[in-house]
Amino acid sequence: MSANANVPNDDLTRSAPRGPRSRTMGVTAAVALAVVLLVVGLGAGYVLGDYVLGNKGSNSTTSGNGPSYTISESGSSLIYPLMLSLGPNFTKLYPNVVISPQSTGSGTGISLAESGKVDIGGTDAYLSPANATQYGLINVPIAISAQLIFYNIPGYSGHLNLNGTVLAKIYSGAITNWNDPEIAAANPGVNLPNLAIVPLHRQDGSGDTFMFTSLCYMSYSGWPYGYGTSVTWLKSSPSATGNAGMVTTLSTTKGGIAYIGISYLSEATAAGLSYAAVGDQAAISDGTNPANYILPTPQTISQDATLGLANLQPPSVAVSLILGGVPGATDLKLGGGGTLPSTADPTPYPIVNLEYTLIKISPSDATLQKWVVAFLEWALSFGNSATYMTPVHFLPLTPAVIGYDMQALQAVTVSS
Amino acid sequence: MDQPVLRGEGSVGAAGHADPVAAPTPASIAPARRTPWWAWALSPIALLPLIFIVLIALVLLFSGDLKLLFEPGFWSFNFYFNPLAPSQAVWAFPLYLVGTALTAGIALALATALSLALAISTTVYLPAWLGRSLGTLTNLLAGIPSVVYGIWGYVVLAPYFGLTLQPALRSYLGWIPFFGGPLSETASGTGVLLASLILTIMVVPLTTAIIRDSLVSVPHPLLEASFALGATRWETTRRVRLRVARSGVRGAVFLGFGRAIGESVAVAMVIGGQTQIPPSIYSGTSTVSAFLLYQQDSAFIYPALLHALVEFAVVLLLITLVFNYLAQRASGERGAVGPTSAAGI
Amino acid sequence: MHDREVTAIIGPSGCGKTTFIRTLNRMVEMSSGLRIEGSVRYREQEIYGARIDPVQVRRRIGMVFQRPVVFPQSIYENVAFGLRLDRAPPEEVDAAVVRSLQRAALWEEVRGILKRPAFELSGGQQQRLCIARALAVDPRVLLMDEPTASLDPAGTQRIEDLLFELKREYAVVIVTHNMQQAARVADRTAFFFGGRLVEVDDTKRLFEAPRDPLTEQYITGRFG
Repeated sequence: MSANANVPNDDLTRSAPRGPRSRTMGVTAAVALAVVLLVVGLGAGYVLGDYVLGNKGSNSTTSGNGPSYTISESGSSLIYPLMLSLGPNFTKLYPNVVISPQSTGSGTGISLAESGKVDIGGTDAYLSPANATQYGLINVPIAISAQLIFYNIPGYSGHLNLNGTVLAKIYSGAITNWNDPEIAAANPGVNLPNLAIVPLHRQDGSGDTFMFTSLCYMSYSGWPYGYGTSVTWLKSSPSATGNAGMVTTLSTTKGGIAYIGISYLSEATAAGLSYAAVGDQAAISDGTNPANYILPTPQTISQDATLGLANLQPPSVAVSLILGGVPGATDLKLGGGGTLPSTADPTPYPIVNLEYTLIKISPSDATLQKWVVAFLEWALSFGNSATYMTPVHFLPLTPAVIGYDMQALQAVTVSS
Repeated sequence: MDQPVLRGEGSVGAAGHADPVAAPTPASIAPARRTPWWAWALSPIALLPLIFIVLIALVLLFSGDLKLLFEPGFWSFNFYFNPLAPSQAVWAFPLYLVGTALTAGIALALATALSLALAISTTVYLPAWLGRSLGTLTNLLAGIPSVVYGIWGYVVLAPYFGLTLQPALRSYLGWIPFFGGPLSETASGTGVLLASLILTIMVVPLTTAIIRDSLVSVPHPLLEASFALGATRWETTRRVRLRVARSGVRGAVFLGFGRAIGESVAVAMVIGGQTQIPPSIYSGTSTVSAFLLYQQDSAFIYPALLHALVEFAVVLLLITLVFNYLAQRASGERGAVGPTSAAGI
Repeated sequence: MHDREVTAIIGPSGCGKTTFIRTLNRMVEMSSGLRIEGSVRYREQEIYGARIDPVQVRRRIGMVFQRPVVFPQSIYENVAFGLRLDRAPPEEVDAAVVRSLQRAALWEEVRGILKRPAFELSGGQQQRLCIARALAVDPRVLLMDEPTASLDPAGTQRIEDLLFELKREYAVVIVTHNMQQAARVADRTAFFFGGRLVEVDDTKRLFEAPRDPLTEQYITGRFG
């Protein structure tokens, strides 16, 4: 009330001179600012949205030395670091082409490639031939990856012999203790403790889950959960997020077991974890012969990829390499059809997969696609070396896979 | 004869506070103002959030068609999804809802107590400058992205919880239900307890800010009247301040709960992710939003999973809206208290 | 101030009347930025003394404000507020509520509606409710800071009538800017100016034969 004392006269009406001009101007300026901010925000959101979704609208722009191109890649978090190292080296050769990768997850990569919102989709699991045909995409493997089975058994740091059947029984609750006779039979001379097994699984949808459940599904007819990037798990099975989470959680879980990508080999070993020699196809029928258990090495992993492709009829790269890519592998159950591939030398490590890129076979922008194909061809030849693959824990593709890739890329429509 | 021009004389003692009813509101004396053109022009923008919500709901409805909601499996407690046989899937929504309600409930119980203590101490007991600074500080905390809390909880707190705190809690407080249950075999510290505490820390700034605001807005004369009757500061706080601010406190709780059930990232990182009803506060479980967060990538591969996620999202959206509405209504009652105290002063 | 008397405090705006009356029960400590000096005594006790509890001071020396301040509770609970602080037994509270409302001359108007929200009462009724609330804790002194400032003439009349009743039991101090009111109700009157006490005397003498020229100028309306 006493504030009114500041009013110079008694005139309290609205028309009293109070500098209305400056007030109106202030309001106008504020509104103008708000509108400008809004427009800028919406515009930025639109552009960013396009960028995030990999819209191709701004793919080719004309700069000083002719047109330049941005190739968008999105998908698997395992492929992302590979793209990060391949991209700039390709740009060094072709300064007008930039590779723009994103780590979004395999499912997202597949979805964006299907809808044509990215030029390259990256995925740990192949796109089924039916879906590939429907969306006009082709699977182009770009690297070989493998999965290791780690465990935390206090006092034991050797390589246990574990096969798909035993793993499937552990993860479906049929085997619950490390001193189970079935485990002991495959590990003569190992003093296994009386300790409950704690099977860890990935909480997030994951290509690693796809590989591991494929192995369980193919090895044990009692496996109830099928295979895929997300499946059901035992209620007693704790979870972790990402390979890094699997490593940390397993390191504190006495009696734990976990499936972890080979990329995390050094982290897991540093955390004091050991990994298993995994049984090949022969171990499914003869689990007690130590010769049927294979340690993951570059040779045994590559061998699996070679064998897998050799066994596939008709030839395709959309293949599960689990257990050496048994013909009709995804339908194989123990004693349920399919023939076991002949033993090769060295014997293949059984949990191997290809890392895939997906591209359109009849793209909307054939000029850009010329560069996409050029990039992949370069990646499959010059990029397919230990220089690029070892830092990201992949293995170079075998000649057979590259042969399929190059053939497949011939079919892509590009403008000359 | 010496009637002053303006009533009242701004006595020294009372000059320190604004009197909310002294001045008639401009609306009551000024003739109805003409609405300026720019207000009309901007009004559709104010509607944008509403339009967005409607759009989101429509998109969700069309892509989900809500058929699953009426299948018994949706309401089961035993999750089952086999990518090879998607038609046999059992989505077990209540299982995830239990995790959500449990973590949010524990978090809100803790957060409300903590916020009341913080709000009361900063508004009533601490010197004004310190209270204001602490208030500002709490508001700042509200802006921290939840993933930061999640990473902090996962990296820093989880190992300590798993190896030290949880075994200690269990041996000292094991006689309390849920404190005595099995420890997680992973000893990773993730689970109901850690998720609830992370949520508490996230929600406290929000609830404290709202409760503080409602405590501060209690008209000063009411407090003076209480003191004049010989009430102590605590008695005045309990019997006058909190009573008048009750609706604000209720609004804070509802809003905090809405925030807590919708929070995904931080909770997902520390919830443990087991598909079970937690047998103890140390156990891992999952929440609706953690499920949405972690399954969205797979959902692009399996249409059935996408379908389920959409319907989870619809129900979560509805639940959150209900709590935000309750929060609105609770603070709407504060509007009703306004006239109350106005008439009283 | 004396028992069973009404003392009025008059003076122009901003002369320190309200501040003065608020020093009498240490309510002045509620405002910030003030320096407190000097001495106030209640029955030979220094109320600003180190061992004095301001809460006890305020129980003995009640206060009523310029505007009626009712709590957002029922009429009954408003009066019972001070008693509840002492956790008085229910029957004692009941008796005290009725007695206080009767003393505040409000009982007849509210006896049937004790459970109704207090803000439903008129302004004058609310102010008497505040007086009842102050009386309920059985103070010895009642400080009233312009209790009729926000009331209409009828409400003012009721309060003034009430003052004559109250002074039989209590020492009453009333701040007013209305000299007629002071002349009507007060036994003694104090004139404040510029934050200082200028003159205090028997009301009749102060108005008829002020000793200080300032007082004379004020009461004859030359400034104010």
